[in-house]
Amino acid sequence: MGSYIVRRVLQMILVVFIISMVAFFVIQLPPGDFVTSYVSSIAAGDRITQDAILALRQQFGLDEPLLMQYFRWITNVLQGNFGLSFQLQRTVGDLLAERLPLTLAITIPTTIFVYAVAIPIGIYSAVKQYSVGDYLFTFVGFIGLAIPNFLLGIVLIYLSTRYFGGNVGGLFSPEFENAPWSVARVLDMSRNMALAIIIIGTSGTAATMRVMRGMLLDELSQAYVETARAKGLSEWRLIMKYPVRVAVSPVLSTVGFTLPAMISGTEITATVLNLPTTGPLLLNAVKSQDMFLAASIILILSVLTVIGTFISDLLLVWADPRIRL
Amino acid sequence: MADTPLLKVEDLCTHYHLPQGTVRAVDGASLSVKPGQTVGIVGESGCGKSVMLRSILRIVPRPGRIESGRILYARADGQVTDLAALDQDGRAARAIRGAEISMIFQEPMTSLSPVHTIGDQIGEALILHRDLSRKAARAETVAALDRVAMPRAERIVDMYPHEISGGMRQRAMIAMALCCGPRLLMADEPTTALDVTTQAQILALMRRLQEEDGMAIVFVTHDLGVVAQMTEFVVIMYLGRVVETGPVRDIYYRPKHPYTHALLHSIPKLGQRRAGARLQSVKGGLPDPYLTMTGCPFAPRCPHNDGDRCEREAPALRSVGAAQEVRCHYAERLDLQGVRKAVTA
Ligand SMILES: Nc1ncnc2c1ncn2[C@@H]1O[C@H](COP(=O)(O)OP(=O)(O)OP(=O)(O)O)[C@@H](O)[C@H]1O
Ligand SMILES: [Mg+2]
Repeated sequence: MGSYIVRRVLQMILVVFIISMVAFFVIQLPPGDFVTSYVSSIAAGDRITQDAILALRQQFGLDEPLLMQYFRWITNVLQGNFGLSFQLQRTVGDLLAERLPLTLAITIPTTIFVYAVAIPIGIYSAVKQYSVGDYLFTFVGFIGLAIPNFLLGIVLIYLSTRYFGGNVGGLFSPEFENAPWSVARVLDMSRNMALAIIIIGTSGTAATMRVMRGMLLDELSQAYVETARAKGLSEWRLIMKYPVRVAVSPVLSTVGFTLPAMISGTEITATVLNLPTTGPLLLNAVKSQDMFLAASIILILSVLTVIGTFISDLLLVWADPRIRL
Repeated sequence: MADTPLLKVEDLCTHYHLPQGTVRAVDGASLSVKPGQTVGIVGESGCGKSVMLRSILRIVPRPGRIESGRILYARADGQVTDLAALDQDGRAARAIRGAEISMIFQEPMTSLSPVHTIGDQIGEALILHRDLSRKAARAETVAALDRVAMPRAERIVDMYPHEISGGMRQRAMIAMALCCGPRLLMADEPTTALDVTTQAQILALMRRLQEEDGMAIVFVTHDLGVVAQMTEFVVIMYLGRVVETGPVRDIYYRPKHPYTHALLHSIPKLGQRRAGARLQSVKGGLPDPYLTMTGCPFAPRCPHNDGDRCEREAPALRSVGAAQEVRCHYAERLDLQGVRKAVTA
């Protein structure tokens, strides 16, 4: 076990290193750089001299070879300095400190929501296969999968404003936007967050529900379930103890990479919902070739993913005694 | 007392209702087991042996259902319960299942949960039926494993099924089935998946345990050698029906049903490969399970089919001789050849 962990950690460091490099270079792939896209975004009337452009390039270090830029950036990152966002003229560290907590505050509850809703429904659907309830959940599940998150977001925003007088997107209703913290403000935020959680979590819930159902159906017909039944255990008790236990561990173990996937997978939804998470920030950074910001976010996501996968694997080893390291 | 049956199955019908049609897995089978008796059930693959045992234990999985018939079980206090009338998942059925009637399954590889320890899986039955504490259950489990001659029982309790061999797993299964002191043990081909040496050990173990505990055993197999070795009384099944029953000797020496005859002569014997002596298998295949037939179910494969009565009229199970029963119109007239010595595997 110990040597396995050491081996995995070394692998993880290598993987993160490669990802950081790939991310950095891929952002540079489109022709031009931040200065080009900056210049073209400035109103056509303002003329910018070649000298000014050169000066800008020099200031940002964009005139150096790519490899040099990368090594300077990564050395700084290792010292905790993620560099500067060209566009926003603030340090990347500041921006992340602002956005990451909220991102986590939305994605962690969403992840919990996904599993807490999907697993019981999946169990019910499998045990009561072909019942009215199973058909209903299957139907709802396919709709949940088929509707893009942002569309669901728009529909829910419409419904909530139309019938419940909620606000349009954002984390706070207008009256609380700049209000000091209070119970009412927290409640208001929770309500908007609940909306975000449902929207972001629906497709994941639908998918996880189907996976859980399928896994459990496979297990329900296994011989060991019959052995348990022959012992005289009651049906629900034996189902929860045996087949569910076997079926749930691979499903649960995906928790490790669901979280980062959710963080990176919600740009569009977060944009539609106007949520100040890292998603829209990354989207913008990539669009404007704001390379340090974009590369830093991607780096953090990849670190989270790699760690998450590692945790998933450990969970699986812990849950299934058949897996030997 | 010894003559009142412990278990009496009467005209049991267990059917599977599938979209393609109804599978009559068990179709009017009857069976009687006396206390302490060992009864063998023999028949080709698919003739309904396993479904019959599952019906008795009331664990027939959906879409299977007991359609009709009675399963009369005499409880320890002499009271007779019709198991077929109980709610499959109800308290009454569950109190008998695993405690008074228990079962050993065919596949020791898959019949134990891969993610629970042996001790957990055996102890669970003790906690459930005998109200033991966890600690007491563990001690009992070790004792139960010792009884089935499990080596290093003290360590095996905490192991997972994949860590021990197939033979040891089947021993664990037997320990599980016996830990609550059942009065009827049903074994569904308990040795089919094991190699010959292990098979012999497991059979010897079961005989020893039966002598010690005096429980009745229903032993399902398609190995007639094992039947001769293990049982006193045989039930031959064909297509969900019992076609012949009787004491082992009578069945082997004087089979009365053409199907039994065919089965007996399909056993390979050591030294049989003399020139000209060929192994007979039962001719023909099983008919479409969805078909409902009129007439004798064995008629299409029967060499003695008269083309008339056999095709029209299903024979009833009737007595021939002292303890033998057979389901054939011409049982007395056929004068079928038995096997000379009861074969031993
Ligand atoms: N779950 C099920 N769904 C549909 N049909 C089934 C099911 N289980 C059993 N059957 C049918 O019931 C019949 C009897 O099956 P059963 O398992 O009792 O045979 P068996 O005599 O135990 O055979 P084997 O010697 O192969 O174990 C078969 O025709 C089979 O197709
Ligand atoms: Mg079977």
